[in-house]
Amino acid sequence: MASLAVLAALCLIAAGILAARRQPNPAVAVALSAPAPAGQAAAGGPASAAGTGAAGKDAQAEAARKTPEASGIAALLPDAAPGTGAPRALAPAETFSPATLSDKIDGKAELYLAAGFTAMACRGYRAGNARIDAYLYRMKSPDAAFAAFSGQRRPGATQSPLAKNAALTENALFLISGRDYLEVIADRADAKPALETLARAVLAGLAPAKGTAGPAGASATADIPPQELFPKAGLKADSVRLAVADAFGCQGLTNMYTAEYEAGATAFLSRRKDAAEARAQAALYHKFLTDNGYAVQDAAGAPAGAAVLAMEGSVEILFTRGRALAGIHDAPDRDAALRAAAALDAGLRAGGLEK
Amino acid sequence: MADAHELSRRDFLRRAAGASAVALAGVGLAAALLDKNGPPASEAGSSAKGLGDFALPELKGRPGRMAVVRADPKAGAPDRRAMLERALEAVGGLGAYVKPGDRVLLKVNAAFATSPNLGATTHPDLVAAMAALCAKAGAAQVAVTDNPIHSPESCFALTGIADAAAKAGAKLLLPREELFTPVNAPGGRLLRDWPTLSGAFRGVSKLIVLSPVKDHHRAGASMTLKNFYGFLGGRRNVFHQDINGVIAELAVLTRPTLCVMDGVTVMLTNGPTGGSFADLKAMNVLAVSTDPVAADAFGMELLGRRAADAPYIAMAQAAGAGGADYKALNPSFLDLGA
Repeated sequence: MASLAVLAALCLIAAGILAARRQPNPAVAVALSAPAPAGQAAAGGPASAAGTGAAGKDAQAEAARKTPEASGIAALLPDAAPGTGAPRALAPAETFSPATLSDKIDGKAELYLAAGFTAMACRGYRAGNARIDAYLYRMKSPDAAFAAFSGQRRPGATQSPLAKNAALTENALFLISGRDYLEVIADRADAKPALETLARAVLAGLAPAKGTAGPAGASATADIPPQELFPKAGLKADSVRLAVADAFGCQGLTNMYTAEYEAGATAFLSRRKDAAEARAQAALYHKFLTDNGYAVQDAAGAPAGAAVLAMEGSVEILFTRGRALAGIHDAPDRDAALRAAAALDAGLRAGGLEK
Repeated sequence: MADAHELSRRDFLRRAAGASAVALAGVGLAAALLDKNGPPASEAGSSAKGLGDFALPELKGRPGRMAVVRADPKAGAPDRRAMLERALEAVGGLGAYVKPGDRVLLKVNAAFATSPNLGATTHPDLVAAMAALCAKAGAAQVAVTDNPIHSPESCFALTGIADAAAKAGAKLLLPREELFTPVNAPGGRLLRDWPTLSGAFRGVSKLIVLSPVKDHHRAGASMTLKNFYGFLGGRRNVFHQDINGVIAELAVLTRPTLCVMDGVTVMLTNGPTGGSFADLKAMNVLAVSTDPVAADAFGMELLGRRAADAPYIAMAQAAGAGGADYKALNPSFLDLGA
């Protein structure tokens, strides 16, 4: 009995200690995710190149990196593009998941994550003296791919014939195909043919862009792609963008297409699930504007049911048409805003969105 | 055969009780000695010290020094070494900061495995120039470091920084696991017991930060203070949710001897990675400052923005890391070749 009593006491003490120490030392917890030791990261292949795998300790990140989606798109970056002098891969492709994307591109990751990112594969190539890096981002939808593409459009970029949404700069090519966004970047300006050759080789392995929603092609539904509804007169070239989240800095204002006009105004359009959601988004943005100093003005001359708000040197108009929220953002004066709003409203009605 | 030493029930209970009593005493002693706060951070990364203060003692409590050199683009490609020498001369010469026998740590931005002409990382010419000048000033050792998280070897190789360091006789310190210890930022809310590259500071007497000037999607701008992010290990991307807060804490994690901001080519858009030459603009400017906050405030002007557009600058000033009014340092503005 005595020994049983002692053992029971021991168990009680052990339980007490465990209870007192149930919070693990945070220093130990975070130290477990310290960076991988040198030499390990570069050792062959995407899996071991995980880097922040932290010497095999960060198994969760490692597993996240090897998602089937990530592995799948890695295979889309070819070992070589066809033709003599065409890009040849320097190493296996590396893959990144939502959990690890920032390991590769740091703060830029949030741009993709906010738009709807699922996986990324990248691979280095050599073509002559040029080093070329290809980054293939798989997004959740064609709209998400367009958001990533349009959010980074470089002024002065030229249209590449490779895709409807394909922009070529001095040293880089950016395009979307379906829900994939591709960047091909050279370290010099004389590699354009190699960029296009490699992009073509990657495109050959991607699903056809047909049936995609958004600006890349025909809509998956019977809807007209939103960018087609913006009035063409005065529209700045390549100015249509998609803000997936927090459009105009308004938290909760989502999936907003914008188009810039020569007159200085920006038209916006967001197609919602139903009319109630469109009205709710309009109310949200209206409140955001008044909270930030805009005053409601007389709506005379504005589209039916529209609200007109103004602050010094900036006029906003917003209205709903069926399940669409539309309006004019930051017009320099009331007349310009009213003209742009009327043109946009006419476009929406022509597209049947008043229903 | 019967055991001559067969244990009686009474003996067994007595011995078991004795053994249990000894064990109980041991556990009781352990419980009495239990430190509920856990082990303190290591000496290298104690909360009191952060990563260390490497500012010149004579500048404590006094305005810092700053010089801005502009190269004439008509004179050809800007010579970073010449610009650096001119700027250093204007703040008293490198000899005022690096003494014979000093062990100098150069913190670079090697965050991405990209070519130097994409402007996303510290330019290797600047690394080579500063390393060589430190050696000339009598430094006993010059080391170059950063923690790029993903594939550090590739980052240092492709950026040209590894080569530049080697040619200048500087030691490249890759972020090996044993160099990280848990550190608290003084007064920090976010950086508590966080794995930090403290091992790179072992024996270091001077810290010089070499940073490009870049747009940054999350932070607004990446210059000197954001460069400190490279001292962090672990899953540091969790701090992106409070990027300004963590940069302000990084600002007091350490105090550099000198900050060099390379605005020869500035990444105006699509940072911090860029990718297209269209993201870059030749500004032909290089700045040296003893005050990292002032340096960043000036850098915002190179980006065509106000210091207020990067909230971490005001937060770093409030935390005592420096002053956002760089003009209060009465900086020298110099034209190279003039």
